[in-house]
Amino acid sequence: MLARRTAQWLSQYLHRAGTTSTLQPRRHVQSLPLEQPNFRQSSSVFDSVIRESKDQTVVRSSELPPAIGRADEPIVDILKHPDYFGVKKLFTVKEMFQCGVHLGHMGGTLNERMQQFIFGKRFNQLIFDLDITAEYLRDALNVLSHISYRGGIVLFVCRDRQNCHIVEQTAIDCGEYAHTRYWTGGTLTDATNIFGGATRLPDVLVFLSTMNSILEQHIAIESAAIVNIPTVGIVDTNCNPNLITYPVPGNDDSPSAIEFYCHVFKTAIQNAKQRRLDDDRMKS
Amino acid sequence: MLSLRLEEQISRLISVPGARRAACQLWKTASGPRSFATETAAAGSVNDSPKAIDPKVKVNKAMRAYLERAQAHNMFMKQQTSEFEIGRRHLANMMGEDPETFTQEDIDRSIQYLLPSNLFQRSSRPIMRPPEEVFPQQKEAQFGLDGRPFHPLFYTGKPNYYQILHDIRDWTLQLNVLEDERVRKGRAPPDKKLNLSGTQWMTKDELATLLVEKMTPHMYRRFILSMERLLLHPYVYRVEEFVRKYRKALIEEVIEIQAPALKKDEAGRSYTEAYANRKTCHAWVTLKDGTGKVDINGQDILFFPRASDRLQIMFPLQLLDRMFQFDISAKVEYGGYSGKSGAIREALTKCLTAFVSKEEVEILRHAGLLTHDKRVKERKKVGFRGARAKPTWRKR
Repeated sequence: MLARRTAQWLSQYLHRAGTTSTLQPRRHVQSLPLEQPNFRQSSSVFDSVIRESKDQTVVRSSELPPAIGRADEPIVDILKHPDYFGVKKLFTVKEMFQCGVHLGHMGGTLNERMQQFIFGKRFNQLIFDLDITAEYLRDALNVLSHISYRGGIVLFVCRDRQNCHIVEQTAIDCGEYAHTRYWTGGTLTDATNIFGGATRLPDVLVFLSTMNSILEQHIAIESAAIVNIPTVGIVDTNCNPNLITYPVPGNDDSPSAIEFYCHVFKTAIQNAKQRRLDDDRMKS
Repeated sequence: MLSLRLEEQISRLISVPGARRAACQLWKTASGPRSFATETAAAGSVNDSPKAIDPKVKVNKAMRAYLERAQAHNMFMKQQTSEFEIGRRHLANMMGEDPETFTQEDIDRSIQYLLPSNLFQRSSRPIMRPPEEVFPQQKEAQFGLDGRPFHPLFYTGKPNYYQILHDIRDWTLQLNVLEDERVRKGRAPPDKKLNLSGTQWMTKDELATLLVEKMTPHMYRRFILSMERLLLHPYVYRVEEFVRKYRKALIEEVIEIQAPALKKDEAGRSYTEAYANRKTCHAWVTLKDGTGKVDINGQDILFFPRASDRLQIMFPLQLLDRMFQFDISAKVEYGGYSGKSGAIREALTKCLTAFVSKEEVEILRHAGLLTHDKRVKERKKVGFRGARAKPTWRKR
């Protein structure tokens, strides 16, 4: 009976995800052969995904919705526009699936607050409903774009040793900030003392993993809530989404999934900044 | 009024050549594999055109606070500098010297003369130094006018340190890609090696000074571990420049042993003389080419009743296999037998250095024979049986 039900939702799921391959266990970084070996270039699972899905719609910054104030376009209220930065087309559910975003932890570790985002369980491994995840991720990207558009400071936070380098690199690439090391208590709540003077705090915190190195909730989540800084966070099945302003349910461990998030966050921020330049140029 | 003064400050800060560049400089130099082109370019452009600052530009609260702090610090330093200058001239007049040519060395000498201090700790003795050396350097502003920090890892609190860790990982990943590529092409591992002999890792304090950040022992350990791990990579020679930035040359210790002058007596035999002391003994030794005669205060080797003392004296000659090639004559005063033998041994070794080659002198030095033994008896303490020993304690 159970097996039949599993098979049923599996087929349903695969139908939804638009793939015929079977579900795979959690992925880990594989060194993929590069076509043109390059010293500076690092191999990336996500690159391969992009390459595989060439036939699909992969949105680049040049294909964004038209900029404000063009002669043939009515002036729009940016904040009321449903998708001013075109974040909805930044990724597809299939890409998320291929990067293993749907893979949660074992059933026993489920935080009940995450029940609403769970699609089911396979061999006791929890599976996220990627349709819900996509919705939340798009919301988060939209907020992130708006903040970047207005010159806000984005701080990427991740305490996972394995993924901290790519998170830092993402922050550097998009001209933002990263904190992947030991979090000194008071970094947000007592910044004047910690940094030795008045300091501008980040405008949004992006958590690639909401856990710290001992698998408890990261202190920065509570701190951000205290000082009223909005947070975007990838919440896995064992995390608590309650204090996160924009939670995104999904796998927060696998490097492939983290690479996916980093890529979409980076692209959204870069697009928003570019958009700002374009709009300013249009206005002046 | 305040805002006017602030604007003046800002324009001054930005027109001072290198003020903002200095702020960026550290992490620019620390930045490794990737260059942060946008950030540095922005900093440079402001520098190049000081008039580009718009008086209407919004200044972030953080920057405003920093500017006020910097202004206060600058005022303070200015005052201190002028006071130092007056003090220097006054001191020169007191010493009857020309104030125009009164250098820092003259100041140190004068202070030592006028305020003699026998305090053991050198740092506790009176000094007079320029204020730049006395007061700690203030860190330059780490953020721009809009309050955005220059460094991507600013919020970690130790951006320069964590930048190094980031760079180490970055290089490792890039070298891994290179290695994979070579392996795929079937190439043999490189025979090039990174030769770091004669250098060592910067010490904790040196690294902290370089990074202008506080360094805990844990942080330093992590740095060394990560670096050592990078060094294990077969292609590490590719990142030699990066590795060498954090290594310092070992200063080779040159020990010149001054051998006593070789003299000739009437018979044409060469000889040397040396003095040494040990405990309360003083020994004057003459070592002469000969057949192994020993004369200690007019007696032969049996001057020492204990065999261990006789061995002591003969040990340098025995070590270099020069027994029965020299005549020893020694005059020794005060003290006991072990003190006497120790003093003679040291003086004899000194004499011997004039007769033997440099390599043999090294052998003597490594054997510890040229090191002065400065141990003396520790005084008895009141209430103790000796220097440290306590009287037997019984429960009453």
